[in-house]
Amino acid sequence: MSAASGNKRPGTAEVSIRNISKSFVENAVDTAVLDDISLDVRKGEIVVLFGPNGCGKTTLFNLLAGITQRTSGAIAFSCDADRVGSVFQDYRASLFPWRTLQANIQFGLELASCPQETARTKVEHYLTKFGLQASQHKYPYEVSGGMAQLTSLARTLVLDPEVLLLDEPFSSLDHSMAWRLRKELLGSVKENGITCMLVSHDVDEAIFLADRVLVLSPRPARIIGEFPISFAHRDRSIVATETFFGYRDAILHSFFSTMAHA
Amino acid sequence: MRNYFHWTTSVGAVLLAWQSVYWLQIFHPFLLPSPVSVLQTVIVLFVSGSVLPDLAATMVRVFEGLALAAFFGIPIGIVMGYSTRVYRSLEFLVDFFRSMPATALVPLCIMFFGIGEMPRVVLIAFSCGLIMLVNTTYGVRNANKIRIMVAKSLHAGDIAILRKVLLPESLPFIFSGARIAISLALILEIVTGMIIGGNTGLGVRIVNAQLTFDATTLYALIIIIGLLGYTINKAYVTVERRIVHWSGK
Repeated sequence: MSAASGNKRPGTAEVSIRNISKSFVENAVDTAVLDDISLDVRKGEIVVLFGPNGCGKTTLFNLLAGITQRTSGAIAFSCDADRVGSVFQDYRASLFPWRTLQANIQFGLELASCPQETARTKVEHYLTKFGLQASQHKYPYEVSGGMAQLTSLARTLVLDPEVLLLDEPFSSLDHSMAWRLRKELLGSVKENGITCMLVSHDVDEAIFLADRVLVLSPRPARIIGEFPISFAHRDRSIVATETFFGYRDAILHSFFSTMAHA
Repeated sequence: MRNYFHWTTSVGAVLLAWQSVYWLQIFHPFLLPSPVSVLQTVIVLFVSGSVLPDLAATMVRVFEGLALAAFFGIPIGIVMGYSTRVYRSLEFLVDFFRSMPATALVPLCIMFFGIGEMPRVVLIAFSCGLIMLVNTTYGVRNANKIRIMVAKSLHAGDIAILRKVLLPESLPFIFSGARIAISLALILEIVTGMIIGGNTGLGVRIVNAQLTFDATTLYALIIIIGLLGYTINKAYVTVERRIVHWSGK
């Protein structure tokens, strides 16, 4: 399996991650969570970080989203910090329960002092796109998980991010809802040429969404495999194709190869 | 229908027990008058308007005290919740005064403010203010960290986070602090009325009834105060549910 080095032209990378390591002090012991991770993400590319639970995927996500500080290494975005959007796993906790769905989506626009009319149009666009219009005046606790996560997604997309970071956004949803949202995400991201980094523990989701899947080892996480994914069209039917199975086999082989040694 | 059935059953049972004890003369009728005479007195006190000035006086003092309590308690609570430094420096003082029974401060209030309205309003304001402060601080400090992270990821500055995330997040706690404060305010108003005396107020009325050995009026006033407290609480909960609609969901 090739080590991840990504782009041959680092100067044009949208996201550049260089030798990132991260350790926490846990019970007075220095525990390494990320071990020398480097990768470049091209503009408009969707990269999925796939690995076992607890490997440090979320730590990497937190580093990218600016929530935690790295121990060593460097992360660089070719765009400004305010063009980077994040979507978190726990949609119940990340939505504001005192605001309606519509008001939640509008939140970022309010912060940016966006004029009322423009804001309303943008919010309407996503309400319609994600089928949330009928429930726009409901509160997050009154709607299903799928609608809540769509709202969370819309809230970030409405700010026109150049880079989108997602941490297992669909893992708490039921099967059909998760697939519906994956399609919506893929559609929105490709439509707007958004560079996307998504953390996932679901191999099917990884293959469906990614231009490249990076396999992470268990803690301390290193990139142990890199798989470019290519499909002519991406819809639910590809899940049953030979190509899909091929990718799945290769990725899982890489994934399990480290488990045996863990 | 079911609920009303249970409600009236238990109240009916209590009244029946009361009436039985009265009939059996277990206590001297002077100490325990009949429920009928007490309920009659309750009605008369209202209809004749006799109790209304006292009711109004109590309500006004409670309201004034609580308004002051909220005016000082909530903002200071927010500052203490937001700034760890301020919290650490004020923590001991707040805990000390909060743990002290408010009634211990009555003589001090009398010395400073005399025996009019002031000592009573000040006492309510001080004790209830501390309660509101403590609950507000708790609410701000324990705001959901994920929501704050989300606000930051949506590029919110510190002031925006305070206004648009921390404050709404802590609103449920502010409201529960206020609810406790309201109950305490009523208690303090009545107790200070008994200790300080004066012309109007339900506490004053109760003491007068006791001094004139008017047991029927005494019981009637107790019931009236109970109804007052109950009504205030119910009204408050309704308002709270409307405003903090997401609490517990």
